[in-house]
Amino acid sequence: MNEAVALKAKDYKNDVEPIWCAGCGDYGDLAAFTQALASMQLDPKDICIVSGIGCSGRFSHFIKGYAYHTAHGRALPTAIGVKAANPNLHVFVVGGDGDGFSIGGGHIPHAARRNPDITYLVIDNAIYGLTKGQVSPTSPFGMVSSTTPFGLEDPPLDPLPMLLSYGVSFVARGFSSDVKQVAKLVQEAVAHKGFSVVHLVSPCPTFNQVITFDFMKERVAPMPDDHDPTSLDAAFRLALNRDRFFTGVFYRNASLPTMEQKLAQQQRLTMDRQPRSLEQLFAMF
Amino acid sequence: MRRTDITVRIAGEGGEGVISTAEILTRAAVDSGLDIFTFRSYPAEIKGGLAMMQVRMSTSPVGSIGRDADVLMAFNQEAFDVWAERMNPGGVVLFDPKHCVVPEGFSFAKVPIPLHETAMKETGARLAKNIVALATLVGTLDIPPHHARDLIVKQFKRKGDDVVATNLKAFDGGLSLLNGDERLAVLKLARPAAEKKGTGRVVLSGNQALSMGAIAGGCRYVAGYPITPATQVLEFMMKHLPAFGGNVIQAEDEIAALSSCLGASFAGTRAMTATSGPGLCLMSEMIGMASMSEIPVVIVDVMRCGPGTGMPTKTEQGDLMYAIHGSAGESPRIVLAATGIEDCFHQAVRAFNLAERFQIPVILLSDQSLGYRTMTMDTPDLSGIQLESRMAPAEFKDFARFEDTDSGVSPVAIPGMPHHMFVATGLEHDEHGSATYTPENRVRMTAKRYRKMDTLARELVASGDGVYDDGAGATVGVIGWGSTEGTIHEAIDRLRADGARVAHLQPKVLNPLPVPTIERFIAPLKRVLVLEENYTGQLAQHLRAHVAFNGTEIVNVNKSTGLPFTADEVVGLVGNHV
Repeated sequence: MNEAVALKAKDYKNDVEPIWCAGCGDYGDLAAFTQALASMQLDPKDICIVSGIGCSGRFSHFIKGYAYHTAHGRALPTAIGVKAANPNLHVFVVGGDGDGFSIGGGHIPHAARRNPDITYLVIDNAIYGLTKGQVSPTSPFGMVSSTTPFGLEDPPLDPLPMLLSYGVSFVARGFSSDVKQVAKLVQEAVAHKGFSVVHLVSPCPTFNQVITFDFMKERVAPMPDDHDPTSLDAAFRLALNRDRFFTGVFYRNASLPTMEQKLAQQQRLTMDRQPRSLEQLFAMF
Repeated sequence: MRRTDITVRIAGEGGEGVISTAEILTRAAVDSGLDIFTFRSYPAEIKGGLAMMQVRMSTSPVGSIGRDADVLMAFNQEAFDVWAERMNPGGVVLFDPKHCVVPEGFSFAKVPIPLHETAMKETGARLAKNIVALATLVGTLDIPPHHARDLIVKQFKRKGDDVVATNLKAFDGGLSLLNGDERLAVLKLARPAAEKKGTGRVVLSGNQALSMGAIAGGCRYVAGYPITPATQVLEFMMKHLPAFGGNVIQAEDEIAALSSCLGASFAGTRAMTATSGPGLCLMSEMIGMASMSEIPVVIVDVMRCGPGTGMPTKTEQGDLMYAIHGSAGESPRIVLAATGIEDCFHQAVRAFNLAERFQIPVILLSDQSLGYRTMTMDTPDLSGIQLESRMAPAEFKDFARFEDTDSGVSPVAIPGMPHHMFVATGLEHDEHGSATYTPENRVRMTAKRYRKMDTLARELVASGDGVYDDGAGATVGVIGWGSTEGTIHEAIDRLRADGARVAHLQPKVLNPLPVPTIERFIAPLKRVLVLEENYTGQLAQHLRAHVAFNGTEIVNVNKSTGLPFTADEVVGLVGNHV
């Protein structure tokens, strides 16, 4: 695409108005996402966003491109089908903490093993917002909500160590208020050849009075300069740090073959060994 | 006088080579020019439990499991105890005296065949006893033995010359056991008119024929999760589809399998998953999603006995209502039922064409008895297959993805097209795909989605789908569905040979029903028997809901044992009414 027709961030936003509450962290993520798309000058016709159910699941309706707004928890396997069918598409998965870590949680390790070249943005507000305020798997211990009137008795799931132990080949974390950093993380995730997950802490001002913007601002810390993202060991140590909430790229392993490469290899091997026409296939029986 | 139609059962402990004996026998029979039809009953365990494979061989084409056995080869006592009384008149039981004692007063002819002893004598290993059994059967039926010898060489050559030689020795040892036993002389098969090796005559299971039909129907993406009795479809596709430029994924569960098929189809690739009842249950939310977002997809359900884990290796037609209705809300989908091996191929092609043209999920029903049976058939005419595609958007035209048209079918773009970006969504939406909850829009878009079903139903009637046999003035008719077709045909032929008149309809599209065609079939009849391999009579319920019977009596005829109907049973059940 030449300079004269360069697309700006706003060109990636379609004319559908977001349905989010005023002050929702999702606005920051949306702004960062369109900035990232503009920085990379992705062609909208080749963008495919697959989203699940939840406030953040509506993300796909607001971007210029193709989108599949699917069932709760099923965005990841849907996106795998899209990417397998057409590896030329820029495939994004967008969903929340409930969508990704609760109902759809079983899909993440398998996506990690397959390593499709897609980018998954988990927009984490630590609450079920669309259903008006029930605890989610990342809600803090003790949180009072409509389903935990005496306080949540279970500890939260810790996304980053989980993603790292699943073998996700690119793991990053951002905070929705730092739009510039989130945009950069999205670009790095897209540049990574393989399955990239960006965990975006995005507070919900309406239903979550614990994980607030102020709460996050006190804890967020930039990634230490000397962090080596190729070291899984170092990534784990930073992810497990309870005092400081590091943001940035935790881990990157570019040496793994992608799902698309593996599928192409499967085709080559099969073509060498098995019939390539139905006539020949019938003749085997 | 030589036999023109004979049924052999081979039974023994799972893992003893019962199935491979029967498979070589089957192939040898086919190579000699015979037509075959096989059925297998096997335990849910990998090793142990009673396995049985039944091979019907005939000098003319056969479309059913037949009656009981004319010959039983019993490897052990359990095989004898379960199967030896279920013989046709004049049947002969072959048994291994080392592992089987025949009780006093047993009424059928019995011939001891020392399988174990011969295997030990010829090869020093008891493993070869199935090859001894194969030889005695080939000899008894008088199938030219070179076919079986060729197959043994082919099967074992990878394991080395020694293994081939050992097995051929066991085979020759088995042949020499027979010594012109008088009791076996009645089991000789007539020689077919010609050997048919290399004439495009193939032996396929229902699952294989269906998989090939899917490839012929343009399927280029398969995702599945292993489940008996549908696993063979995933295995077949894994082995063959990539050579056609397709991709196959073993998903982490059935939900992921269907979800990824929807993703692949959204991206423009014809996609399929294959499962059985429990998997269909897990998929049902995504079936509604496919219906709402109007994504073409083919879902194969090779039915087994439910509910729960049920009897995973046994057959049942128990998922019809679930296939038609199962999902959240009201979600139109097409349901087809394949009626035989060759039909598995054709219905699979059709499933893809219907899915693409109507942008709708198509559930193709098969069952364990159809999926696992094998039959001889001619290679279908592949040049006659025409693929139909989804309606493409007009170039540069204002594009409404869910345009409310007369047929209910709307144009659909594929990601990568420059001017037609849209959101496919499970939310109720307007013609452009924007989420909309107004009452007017809801009614309009629901009607639009269901109009596709009306369009198809009209086409089915116009194209004569559900061609039936009116039985030349019969007053009693049979309606069956799916895998029972060949058995019903055979039973009706026998009833007609005795002078009875019976009409027969086996509809292949079960949702939507070609109602006027079915009503025309019913009109002249006093009584319709709806024959189903389930307990509650699901097709009968479906017919009662949609079809006017106008005084014709409807009678449910059901079998829910886990085994398919035999022609004998159908003759008895239908014969009571004519």
